[in-house]
Amino acid sequence: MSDFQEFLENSLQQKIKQLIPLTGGASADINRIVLANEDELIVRRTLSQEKSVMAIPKILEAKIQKVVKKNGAPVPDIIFEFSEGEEIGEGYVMEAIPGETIPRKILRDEKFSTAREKLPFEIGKSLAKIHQTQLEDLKALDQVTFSDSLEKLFQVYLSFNQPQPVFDLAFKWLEAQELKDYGEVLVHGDFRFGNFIISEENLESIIDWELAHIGNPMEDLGWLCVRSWRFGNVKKRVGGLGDIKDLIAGYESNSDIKIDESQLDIWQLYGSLRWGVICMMQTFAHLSGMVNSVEKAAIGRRVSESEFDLMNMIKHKNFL
Amino acid sequence: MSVFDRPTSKELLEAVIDFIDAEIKSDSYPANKKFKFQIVLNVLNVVKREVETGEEINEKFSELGSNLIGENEFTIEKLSQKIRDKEFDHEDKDLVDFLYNLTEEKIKIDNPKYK
Repeated sequence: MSDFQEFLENSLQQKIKQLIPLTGGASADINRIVLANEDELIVRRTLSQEKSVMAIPKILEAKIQKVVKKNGAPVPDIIFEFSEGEEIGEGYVMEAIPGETIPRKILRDEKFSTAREKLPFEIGKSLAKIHQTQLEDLKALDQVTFSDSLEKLFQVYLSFNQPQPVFDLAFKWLEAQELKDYGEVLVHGDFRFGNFIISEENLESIIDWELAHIGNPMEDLGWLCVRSWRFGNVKKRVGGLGDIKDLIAGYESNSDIKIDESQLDIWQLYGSLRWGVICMMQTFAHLSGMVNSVEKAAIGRRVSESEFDLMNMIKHKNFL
Repeated sequence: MSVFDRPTSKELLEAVIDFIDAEIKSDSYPANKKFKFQIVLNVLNVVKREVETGEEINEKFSELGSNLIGENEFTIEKLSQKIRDKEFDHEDKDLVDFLYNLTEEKIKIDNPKYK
């Protein structure tokens, strides 16, 4: 038995039948825990040597989930947190919410057809709840303004030393926009299908809080609309699933914030640029020799998809 | 002119693409390997399309780009720098059109289904 499993068994005071590795966030080691009585739990951790520059510490992730849960938004309950040495790392155990996370299944399988109809509204409604989270308990989170995000992203882009004139234009376009101040809120940071647990009835849970920060609420809404998260259903702006009007109606039904669609456009454009730079990051991990991966090499030629989206938005004001 | 014999580089690529395509379509091929080989196939198709029309696109956009920046020699680096230095306004119609057209050509090579 691994040290990690032994540690978990001692902490949970229960025997573990199986520890199943799950693919997940870039900076987390995620396992499904199957207990001797067949109950299931999820453990998310970071091993100390692989701490990511972008992700927040796992202990903070757990704290956010607790605070958000208290406010009534759907997130898994935290069972316990741990911060141990190199072998075990830092992380938390949470309840395993039954449901589906794989976007293509949620978007296409017959059994989700009822859920699909109401998801854009329900996702909007839950997001509004998240954005109302009291921030006093989350002071450890970074406050990120729009210009901070842009500057940071630009520096990452520059670091590859591969000019993409479309990206340069997009940075200038974004710098010229007037951003509406909706007040500072808890931003999930990666709010999209893949991070939603969906049952046949509804949205059950929102997971993967490793990119959370304090910022503009429109960032989460815009990110959800980026074309890369539509998984082939390009005409459905909200995650390949539905109309922007339903998302906004859901959000506004649960919030005092009135959404200005043109602000959402700006954040969607920012999201496409961000995704493009993330693709570069992936491919340069291969090109720098850090890893040798045909997937990462291939993703470099998907940067032009982001460029195509950006130019459609800039030239044709087409956000679909 | 080419000093190399047939099969041409394009024909060689096509042979490899056809082989992998047939291989992963067969029922006996393990599903977990199919996914990776689909990526390999996509990469080879990008290379094939670039071998076919890349040079033509490069020439066309060198000329258009040189008109755009008003210099004899055009490079992508130069254009990026000029945008960063605000030598172009972000709404400059010629710049926007140039980049839109260039992006359309790039996507035809990288992922023609994307449109």
